[in-house]
Amino acid sequence: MILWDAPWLWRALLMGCLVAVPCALIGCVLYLRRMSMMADALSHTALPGLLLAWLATGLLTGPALFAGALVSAVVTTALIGLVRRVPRVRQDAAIGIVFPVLFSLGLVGISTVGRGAHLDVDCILFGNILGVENSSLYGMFAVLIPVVLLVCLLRHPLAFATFDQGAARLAGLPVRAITQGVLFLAALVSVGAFDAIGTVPTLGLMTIPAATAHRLARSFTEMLVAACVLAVAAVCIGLLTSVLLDLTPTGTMVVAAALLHGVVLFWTSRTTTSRQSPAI
Amino acid sequence: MNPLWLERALEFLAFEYAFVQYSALSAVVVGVMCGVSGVWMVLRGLSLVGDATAHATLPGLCLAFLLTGSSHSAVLMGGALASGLCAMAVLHGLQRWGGTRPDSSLAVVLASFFGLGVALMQRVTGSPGAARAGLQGFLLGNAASVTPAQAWVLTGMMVALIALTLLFFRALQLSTFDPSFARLSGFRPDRVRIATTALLAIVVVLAVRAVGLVLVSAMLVLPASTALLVSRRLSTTLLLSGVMGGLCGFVGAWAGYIWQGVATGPAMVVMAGLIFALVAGGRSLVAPRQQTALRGGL
Repeated sequence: MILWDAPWLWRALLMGCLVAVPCALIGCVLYLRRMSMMADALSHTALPGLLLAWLATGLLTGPALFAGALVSAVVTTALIGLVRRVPRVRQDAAIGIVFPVLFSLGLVGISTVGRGAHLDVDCILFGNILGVENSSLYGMFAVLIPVVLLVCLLRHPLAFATFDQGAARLAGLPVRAITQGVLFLAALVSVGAFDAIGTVPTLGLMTIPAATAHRLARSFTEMLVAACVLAVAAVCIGLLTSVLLDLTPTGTMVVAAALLHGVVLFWTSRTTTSRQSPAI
Repeated sequence: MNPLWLERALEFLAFEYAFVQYSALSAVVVGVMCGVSGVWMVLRGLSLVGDATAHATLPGLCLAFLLTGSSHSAVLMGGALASGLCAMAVLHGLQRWGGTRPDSSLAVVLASFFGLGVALMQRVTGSPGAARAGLQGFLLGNAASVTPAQAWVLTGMMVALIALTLLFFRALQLSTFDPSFARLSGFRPDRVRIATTALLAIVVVLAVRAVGLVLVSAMLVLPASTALLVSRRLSTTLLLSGVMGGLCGFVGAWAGYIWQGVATGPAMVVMAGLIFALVAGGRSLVAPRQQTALRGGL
């Protein structure tokens, strides 16, 4: 195939893998904490965070990106916590109330005060992985290292605080700080992945490989490894298929992850027979 | 104060142009529909199901366009409805037979369906003609592009939705709050549940054009949650939620007219968020706080 000679394909593959690994790692933690929909919220609120960072500094790279992630993570989680504390607001509704409003503020912002920032709606939703710039490649690399190091080195306290919050608190672990840290890392990954693969594909790589890995793995470490392998596989399969079939690369990656999930679901459903009452 | 800003604001209120009338009408109608049906969704704990369904309409829109080559709204809406219902069926299957957790299954369905839509977008944007512009409007919503015929169809659907709600009020009320008692009283809560869910899909598909598929869920959740803060009676809640939805729709269409480039959907949602914040703030000053010391997660 002539494809193997194309440098843009290798760049896109590299970027895809750089995005996939931290997404999968943080996705596992969110999954186990039953916060998968927080990934949805954070991947959307990355937009107002980025916009604020751009308005304050005029930059969309490096430290500005980091500050934007910090702002969006803190504001989103604080607001969701606040809305949950309002009497008679449904718990699940809190997420659905907060993030669309913040995302809308971001959208209104980019069409009024933020016209100069290179943020357009198609790019936000779909990403542009075939045209990544060097700066976002380095930026994603800078995101990857702290996420991988923190999740891998701290996986034992992380698992403890995730599976038994009460016991972890009694054992002296800073449970609240760990929760905040997890959300900050998720926001950092969302922001880093933002201009390469877009909002909803980020959500896909955060949630689907983690859900698949949960069905395969028997320990937290196994789950982390399986999720990374699945996410990288989805990126590679999706990217190649999209080039061959003329589809959008980012969406095809998510579809590949979903197909892998379907295969694993079918494969494991013959051995497990858990039934839950459906919500709808 | 900017004179141009004020001039455009007054221009909108004069309703001189037909397209202004129809965009305002359709935004208000969509707001009312979302407000009324959102109450049932929030009460049933399905707040985020609307989000997943709305995102899941994208592959249907793309496939309908690619297969038929027409951007006629009936064709697109049909595709959107089919894929929205399909997503709900997959969600149901994942939770019932797949043993997947509710929050994770929502995120997986949302991301997979939207991913499929995004994958197909390449083909859609690669196709020539003004047709693809019709699809772009669905992403963030554009009430200004609504034709008179569509506006009247939307109004008819709103009337039908309100009539259905009034007609089956008792069945809906009982099977939402107490399914066992509803069954004993001779209703069929299972069928009511399926009917409400299907109706949710229809409302989402109708609302997608005006609000945009990314933000439909907000219009389902925000007015309903605000109304639930204020009122303790179901009938009052439905009324308040519908009125608030309509008001947000009007303001959204207005803001979209005043500021060029601001889409109707985001403007509606920002307005709804503002009202929610005011009401919630007022309520927490008035009412004592709930115990929140030992709650997991956040």
